[in-house]
Amino acid sequence: MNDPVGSVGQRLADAQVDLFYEKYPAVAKDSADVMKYILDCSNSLKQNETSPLLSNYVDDIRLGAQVLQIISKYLNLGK
Amino acid sequence: MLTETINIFIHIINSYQIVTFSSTYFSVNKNYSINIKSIRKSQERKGGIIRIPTKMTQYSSLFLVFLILCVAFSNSISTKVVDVDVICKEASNQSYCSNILNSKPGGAKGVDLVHLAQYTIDVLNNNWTHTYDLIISLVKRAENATVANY
Repeated sequence: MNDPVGSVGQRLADAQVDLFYEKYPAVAKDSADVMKYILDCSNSLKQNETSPLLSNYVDDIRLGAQVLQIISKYLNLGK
Repeated sequence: MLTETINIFIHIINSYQIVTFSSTYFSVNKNYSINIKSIRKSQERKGGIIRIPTKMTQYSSLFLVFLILCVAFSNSISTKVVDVDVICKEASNQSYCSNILNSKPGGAKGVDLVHLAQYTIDVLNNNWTHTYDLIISLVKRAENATVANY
């Protein structure tokens, strides 16, 4: 899964910090990175037989990351 | 927000007169404020509008307008509000999106984008922690199964 532990967790932490410092373009980049890692993970899960529960969890994160992407888009429109 | 602030400012100027602002917010010497008071009293007696034709008063009011515009502009950016329905219209799963945002304690109505983003990141972090724990437990289970096969 291309080290999703460090990637997704780290990007979410980065997004939190960037949001605090009002670096909205960076928040958009962080959320796009989260989405990329999650899509990689999701594709990997489809190729390999694994827990359906894990697939559901990953899909939930994908949908949440999409919401974050939309919000960060509106944040950048306000700049 | 910006229009409201400008309207409020114009209303304040009309109500209290520019003189009040300049004498309160800028250190005007005592003679000057005495003069202002005496002029105001005489004007009030006559029922007229107070106008002090000094450059300082004009510049200070311009400065105040500029200051208020800056504050209003910065506030309008930091407290931008977008309706949850507008956001979720763009999501592939609209019900999931509105479930997430409306699960915010206190509701999501009228909440600014920064707080919505903060809440979404918190939810994602929480989901990610659960996913990570599940991955770790699956890996352990797989390792145990492999050992048992040997």
